[in-house]
Amino acid sequence: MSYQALINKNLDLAFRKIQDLAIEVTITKNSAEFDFNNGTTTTTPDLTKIVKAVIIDINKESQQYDYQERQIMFKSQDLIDITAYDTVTIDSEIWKIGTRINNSGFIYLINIYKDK
Amino acid sequence: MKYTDLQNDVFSIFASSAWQAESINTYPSNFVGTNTSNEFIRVTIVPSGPGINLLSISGIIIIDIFTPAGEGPNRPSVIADLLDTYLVGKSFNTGSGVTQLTNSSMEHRGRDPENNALHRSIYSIPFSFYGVV
Repeated sequence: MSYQALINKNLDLAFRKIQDLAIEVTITKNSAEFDFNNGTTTTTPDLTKIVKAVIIDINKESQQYDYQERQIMFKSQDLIDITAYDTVTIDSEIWKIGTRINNSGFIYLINIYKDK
Repeated sequence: MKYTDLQNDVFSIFASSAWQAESINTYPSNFVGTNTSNEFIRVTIVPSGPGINLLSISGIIIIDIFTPAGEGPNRPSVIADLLDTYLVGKSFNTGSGVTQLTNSSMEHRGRDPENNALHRSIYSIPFSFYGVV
């Protein structure tokens, strides 16, 4: 077995071992186009996939306006590619993905944002 | 609605079939979308100056020109010249006011700090929007 397959297999095992700490989230890959004729953006969901994710960190900012930030982790093999214009749905709430997307090749570590 | 009318005037340039035929991917500010090209422009309207009346305003249109890094200044200059043909000295009137553009300037800023694979040049052109009171 290659090291890559070995690591992915153990990641699968780790996500099973942590049981309900790994929650189901929905990743929606979008494409968006801007129409200069009417000044509107059209966002089209191209792909929706349910994956297991682990919430690493939760931040709330309550100064001039309230927003929430979460750092989540999920397996790279569950989704090949994500971008900043995709969204993550957790418990029916839609979160926007931040611009910095870290992918080790095995684990995605991303920050997601939502108004309170 | 001076800000909306101004924006509609500027956007009408890039909505025109003539500009679309130039095949240069064009995006407004605050747009996050699918871009598959390593050559595109981003249009930002900065209405920050005074106007002759309460419905008028002046400012500058800033157009970031993104081209592949390391390939010299030629392509940004070609795109800037192309923008000149659509913008310099032109007037637009799609709503209740008139937007007049003057002369342009350009600055090569070097590699884009967010994406080092791209070179960013800044094309800018002042405008005056005249609203009817």
